Amino acid sequence: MIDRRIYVLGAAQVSVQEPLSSSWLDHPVPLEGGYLRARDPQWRDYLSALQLRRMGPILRRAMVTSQAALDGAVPEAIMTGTGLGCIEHTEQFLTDLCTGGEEMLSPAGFMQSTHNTVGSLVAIQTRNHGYNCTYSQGSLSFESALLDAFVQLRLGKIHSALVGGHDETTPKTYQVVAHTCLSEGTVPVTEGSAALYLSDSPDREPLCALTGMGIVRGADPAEFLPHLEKAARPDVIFAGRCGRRDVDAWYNAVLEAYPGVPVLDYKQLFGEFFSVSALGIYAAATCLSQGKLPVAPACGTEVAELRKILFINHYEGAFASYAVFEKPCGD
Amino acid sequence: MEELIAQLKGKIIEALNLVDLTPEDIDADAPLFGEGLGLDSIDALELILLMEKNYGIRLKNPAEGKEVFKSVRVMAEYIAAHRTK
Repeated sequence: MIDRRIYVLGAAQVSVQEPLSSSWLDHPVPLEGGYLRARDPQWRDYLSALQLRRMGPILRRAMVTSQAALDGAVPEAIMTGTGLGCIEHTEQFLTDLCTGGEEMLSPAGFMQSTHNTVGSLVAIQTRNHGYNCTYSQGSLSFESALLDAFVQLRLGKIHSALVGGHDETTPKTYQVVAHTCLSEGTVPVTEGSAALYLSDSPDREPLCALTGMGIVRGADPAEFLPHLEKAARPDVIFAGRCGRRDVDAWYNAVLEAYPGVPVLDYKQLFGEFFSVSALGIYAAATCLSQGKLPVAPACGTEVAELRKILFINHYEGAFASYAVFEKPCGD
Repeated sequence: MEELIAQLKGKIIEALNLVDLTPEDIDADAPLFGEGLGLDSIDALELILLMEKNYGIRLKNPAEGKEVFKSVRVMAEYIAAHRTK
């Protein structure tokens, strides 16, 4: 594989933190309770009334984060990661299906009840006719999308990509899914969107460079660690610990190989949902760009110079992922 | 008829999620498509559904819809003449 440099040129989020802002670095919104909805921006500032009336929360958030990350650029490819897709419209459609005797179903509900509605709409809005793929792989949905972009950029098959992680958690979803598929840890179940614009060329000032990543089958930390060779001596590790003992045990076992390296538990900032790793990776890119880590309670550790971040995640004890981000200076 | 028009405006706002509008904002004689409310083909499907759900009217001929959905008043007149519930 050609060792092309891959840059993160733009990144944006809508989550339980202040939307479309990096104020969480200095003034993180404390997360309280078991279930929190995202803090949405004033939609009218970003989307027309016509767009708004058909879009559910996930579509609105995907649209504004994508627009903010792209900042006018048109990507060659769009990769989307989502655990449940447009679940609000799906719920509405299924409810209509049950109550209406499988007749008289709303076309808008039907059209927008699929996982790939998000990626399709982003493509329409950005006038993108290129590669478009949606990954729905539980808590590795976003990394699956990012890996697709990473490999294609490395191979030179594409030169830019918009990669997003988007999920909405409705009250019904929270009741049904949160206690079965998501961790019942100490962080609340939340929702959110993050979009990253990647390119093999630093056309504009990059936030950071993505220098390595992978998804590893098997959850044994001893088998996972050899894959992290490229991440030797990270300045900080972004981990997905959530306060549930069996989940955190895996992270703790991996972290033992990095004594003294500060750890940022990004779920303390953004909560828990299927594609929250997109927020963790957005946070890593933002921290490298701004040269600082968030204040307590997420990390609170001073790092002399922030040059390299290792991101780790695992899913259901079956798959694990890693990504390495570095400051782009010196290219 | 005016009562039916007022009711229909409310149902259109709800079915099409026209969150910015109140029934008073909709001119009963203004075109629903193109100008006026600026509705599109997906809205036309939603209106067909609205007619069937609320008034028991099934539009079988798409060309008929073009006439029926000219304005809220034309819709209301059609409903008054053909409703089964």
